[in-house]
Amino acid sequence: MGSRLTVFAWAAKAYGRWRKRKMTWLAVGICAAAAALICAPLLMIPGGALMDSAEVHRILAPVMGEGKGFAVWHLIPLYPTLDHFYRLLVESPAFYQLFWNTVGMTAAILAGQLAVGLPSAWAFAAFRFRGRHFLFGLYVVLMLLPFQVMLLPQYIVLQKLHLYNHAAAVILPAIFSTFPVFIMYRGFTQIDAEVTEAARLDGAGEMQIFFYVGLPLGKTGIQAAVVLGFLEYWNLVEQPMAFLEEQARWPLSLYLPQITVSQAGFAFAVSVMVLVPALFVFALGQDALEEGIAYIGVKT
Amino acid sequence: MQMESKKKLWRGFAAFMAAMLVMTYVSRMVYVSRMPRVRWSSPIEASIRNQIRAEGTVEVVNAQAIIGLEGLLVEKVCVVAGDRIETGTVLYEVNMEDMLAQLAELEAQEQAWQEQEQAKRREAATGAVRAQEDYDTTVVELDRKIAEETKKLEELLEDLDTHMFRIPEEDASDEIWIAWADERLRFDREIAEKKREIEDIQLEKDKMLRQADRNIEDARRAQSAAESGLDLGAGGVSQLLERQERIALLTALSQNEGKVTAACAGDVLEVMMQSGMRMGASAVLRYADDEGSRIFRTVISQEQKARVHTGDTVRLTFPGSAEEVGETIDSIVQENGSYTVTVRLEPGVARGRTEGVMELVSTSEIYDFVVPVRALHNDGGNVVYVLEEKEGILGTELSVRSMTVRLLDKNEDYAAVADELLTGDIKVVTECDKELENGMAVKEWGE
Repeated sequence: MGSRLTVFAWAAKAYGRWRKRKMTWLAVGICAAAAALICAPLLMIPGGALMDSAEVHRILAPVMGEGKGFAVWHLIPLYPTLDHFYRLLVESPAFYQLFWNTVGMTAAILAGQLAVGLPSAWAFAAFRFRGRHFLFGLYVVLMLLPFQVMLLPQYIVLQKLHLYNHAAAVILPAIFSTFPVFIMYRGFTQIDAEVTEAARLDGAGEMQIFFYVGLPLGKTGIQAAVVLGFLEYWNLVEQPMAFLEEQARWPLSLYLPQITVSQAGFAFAVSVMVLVPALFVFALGQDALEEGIAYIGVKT
Repeated sequence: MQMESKKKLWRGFAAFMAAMLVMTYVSRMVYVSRMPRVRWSSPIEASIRNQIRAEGTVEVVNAQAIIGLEGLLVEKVCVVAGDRIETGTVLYEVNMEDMLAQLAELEAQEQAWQEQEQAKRREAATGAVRAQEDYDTTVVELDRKIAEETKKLEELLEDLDTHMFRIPEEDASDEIWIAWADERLRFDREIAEKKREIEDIQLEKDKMLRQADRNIEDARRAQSAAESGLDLGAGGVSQLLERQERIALLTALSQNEGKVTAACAGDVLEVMMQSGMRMGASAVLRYADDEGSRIFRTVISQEQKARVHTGDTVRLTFPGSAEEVGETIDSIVQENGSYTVTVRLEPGVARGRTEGVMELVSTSEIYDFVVPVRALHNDGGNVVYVLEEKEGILGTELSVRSMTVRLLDKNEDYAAVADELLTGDIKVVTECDKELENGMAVKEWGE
């Protein structure tokens, strides 16, 4: 997540700078080359999805240990076909089962994060109370802990709560993630204190200030948290793999590992379809994402 | 980003999600439509009733052969193998001209022989008469001689008696006594000599009569031999009888215009002659006599052999005939991995039939697990597919699991199987509209 975030941040910043400062063509060329290098795997996906199975197998034979030399990828397939998409979209109901599992899981997590994280973030941003810094620091520490560290405790807790092999086993820990709180907190801190003070003077209660001042003005941070959260939970792998035994409850991210290497073309088609919702969400939340990421770097 | 662009993106996103929703149903429908539909049943405790049916052939035991009339020319063959013949059916015709020529020649030979024989008989009869005459003459002649000598002997005896009355006086001279005694001695000698002569003549008579008897006997034997034909010898008699027999045969055949007919009803099995052929002494036609015995022969598999035993009663039917018989199996012989079953039929059964069908019903012991035979698949062994629920990506689905079982017995409808994992509760797939594979998801066949 961290490395992907860095790439996105770098790309967003580079793109912004290029648009605003009209960088020289040399700089543009360097960036384009770097972007091409970074995006190369992305460009392979649609090409591979449109190749027929024999072509994909022939190209990937050296990678699979069935041929000599190196795999030479064709951006444009020699024998384009929609067979893999037809098979995926028409003949693979399992794909849809997992797709809707992912949609439901992601929606539940994001909704839960908003319900739990928004008040927390607002509290850290709007109120000054004893232990606030310690508590916030604890949030940051929790945010920095990798999943592998939390795996065993989470497993034990979920077992005790009889939530193992249930969607809640993935959703509940994610709802209480501290990262969106951190992002939204940064958004709320951008609101001038005079604005909330004026609202109080005008007789607004704390809930009114939260709903009518905090949420509209902190919208960008919230959107950024939602977009980042979506991108993370749409591609969730470790948690469902660890806590969901029943395949019918799996998210789409676990569908790809089920596909054998001999079905590489089909796997590329799955990748394309997995990518589509993420691209939509990214495009819709791009502005908010840029600003939200920028908040992270702002010192409060 | 412009609001308009965002709206387009939202619309696009919504359209994508809607399309995914629609395709979810479409893919499910496609998946389900391709899913094999199965019917199932649980194994039951039952016995296997087997009806063994085997087609076979009806074969004739000891077929009758018609021997050709040696030396005759076949004019026309009137039957072929497989023909049904009745008593009097013309089998073939001989060339009349050729046959009549042979008959005439034989009759001429017979006539010549008859004349020769009559001459022989006459000669023998004459010889016999002459021998009898010689005998009679000899008897008369010798009897006459004996009578003469006996008369002379009687005269001598009378002379002797007379002489004895003339005995000399006691005081007669010695010369007289000597003369009387000499005379007496002469008489005694002559009498003894006459007696010897008579005995000699008697002996001569006996000898002559024996010889005459022999001559008569020889003459009579010769006459008898001539009359009976014994003088021909064994070969001659055989030839004579053969000729006479052939003359009778050809005569009868000529009266029947050269047509040879069947003596009894049956079926022609084989014809070994053709028009224009001169027949030899071998068979020219083989046929199955209706009254003769037949056997039914069929081949059964090793699997069927386990249910068929020697002595079992089987039902035999014959295609094209309403005839139905119950017979017992006489023998079962292994031949090249299969078994030949032989059933001897009663005389008169399966007349004119060359094919038959054997049926036998046997009931096995009671088996614990009997499934419809449709449930049994041959996939490198005997396999049944068991219906069970399986957790997968699509949730709980019905799927089939292959289970290798031991086949204990089966008939056309049911199979008795055994395996440690078999229970009475399992669901065995009995019918499916597609080829099944292990682990394949299936759905139950709706009513």
